[in-house]
Amino acid sequence: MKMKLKDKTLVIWVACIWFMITCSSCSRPVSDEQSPRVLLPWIENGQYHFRVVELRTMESLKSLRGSVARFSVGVNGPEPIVRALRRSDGVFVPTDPMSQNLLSLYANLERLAELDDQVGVGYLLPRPWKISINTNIVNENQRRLHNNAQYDADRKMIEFTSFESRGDLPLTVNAGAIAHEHFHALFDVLVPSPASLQDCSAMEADQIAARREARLRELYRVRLLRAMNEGLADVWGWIHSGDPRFVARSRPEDGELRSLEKGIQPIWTAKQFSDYNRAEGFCPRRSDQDFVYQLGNQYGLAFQWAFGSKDRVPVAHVVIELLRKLKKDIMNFPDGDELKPALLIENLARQNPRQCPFLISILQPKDQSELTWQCWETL
Amino acid sequence: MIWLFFVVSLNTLAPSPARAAEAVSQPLAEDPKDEFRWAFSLAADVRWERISDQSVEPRALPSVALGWGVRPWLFLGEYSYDEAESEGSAILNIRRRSRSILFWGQYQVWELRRLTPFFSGGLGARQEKVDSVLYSESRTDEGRWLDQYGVGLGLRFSGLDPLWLSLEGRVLFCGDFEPNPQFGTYLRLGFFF
Repeated sequence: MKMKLKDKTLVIWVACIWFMITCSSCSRPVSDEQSPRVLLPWIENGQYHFRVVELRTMESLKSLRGSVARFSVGVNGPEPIVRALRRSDGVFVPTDPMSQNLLSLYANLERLAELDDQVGVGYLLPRPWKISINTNIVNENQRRLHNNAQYDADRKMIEFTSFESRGDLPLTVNAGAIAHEHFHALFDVLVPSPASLQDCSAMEADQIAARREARLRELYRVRLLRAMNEGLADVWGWIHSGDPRFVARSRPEDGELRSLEKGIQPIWTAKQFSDYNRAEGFCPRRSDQDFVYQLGNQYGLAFQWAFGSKDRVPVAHVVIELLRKLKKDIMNFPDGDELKPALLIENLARQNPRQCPFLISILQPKDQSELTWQCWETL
Repeated sequence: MIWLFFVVSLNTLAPSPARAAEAVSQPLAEDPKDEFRWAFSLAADVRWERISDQSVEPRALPSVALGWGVRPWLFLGEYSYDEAESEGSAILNIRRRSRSILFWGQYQVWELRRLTPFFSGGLGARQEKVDSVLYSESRTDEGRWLDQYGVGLGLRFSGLDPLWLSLEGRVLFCGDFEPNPQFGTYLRLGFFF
């Protein structure tokens, strides 16, 4: 019996539908594999090379899901999608820069989670951590930032802006920069943050005059803690990456200011820091004051010179102990400017008496006598 | 939109509805051109795929095909090659390359003198390669060949025999596509010989 035209059309339609159903099930994503091995830019002995890295906690490579971190495009955006080919030996190779950046970021976060566990703070930050990429972050002039990153304490989220190709290493591949941002999360839970400052832009002149001194004391403490936070975050970046110049790889403009590979700088006295604080003004518009990073770098260099040649994991223990002590100090001095820049170095000396002579040498004469006496007692 | 423009413009060349109905009612086997013929074509294989900034964008791949046909069937072997531009920065960048081979069978349900709608189904394989650069280190990695399948629906215009022109809407499936399935259009200029 011959088929009519209508019957033939029906057969073709049925065949097409069957074909689509069959194919949608047989073409399962190739990258849904537990603990995949991925070829990534990876730092070893202070240099970046392509290395095969196992992502031990990864559940789905394609949607970048794992127990350590969850990603979104923008703060409230969708999950990013990763594209990778699979070589005959089973190793995945990212096929676009975004996928390479994301996988590298996950691999670094996984190693940072292991470091947290090793130094006993793994329980402090519930996992998976929240990470946002291509985040819209604006500066004080409402201009969108690029090649930048921040830890958002309110959202408990590490946020990366978009990357603009300038011949630098993307921050999402820079092991030191990723560790730096992760450290801010640790600092946020280990050290109580000062009460947020009142917005001064809408204050009247008489209000400013009445509040000036109190406001400057608040600013002193906020900025001193920020300097400690930034300095120790750079130390954490060096601990994780072994690269003392990691900032320069992605942000050459900040490279010299934040390098941990230069001559030791004496730690400022409270008076010096207070003078910079006053000079910056009552209602500063810039959020990233260089003098805060300058003091932070003094702390970073102190660590690098004191512990640079040693295994880096014990140094991570020292940093965590220092944060715990800092928390106690802040609770003992609830107001004003009793905290001084030398406090961090004094605490470090108490924890590591063998480093006392060196640590005394990097303080200004005014701060040296007290530490000398403390070290003498300890030794 | 392109699809709509194509259909409208071709229909202006197509015969009137009365003549078309007459053509449909004629048995296909009676046409003197129902003989074995070789076919060759050059095409733009446009596929909607995810790019590095996470958006889904069309990307045109050059494609060649060789095959043969006996109405109502046309069988074609297609080869498409894609070489993307290098993406990233001067010290860390990636260039993606892909090639695919697909064997398609096209079945024309009916024929309106010059305009022929057809269904198609294809299967084949696809491979990706990626060139990566990091500082002074560069390398090439090759993926495995992966199965690839597709179905399509198109219109063939063959008013200037032996030349023919076709536009096809396709749905393609492959394990490493993103998104999967991938939608595409295939604009082809071919000739029979």
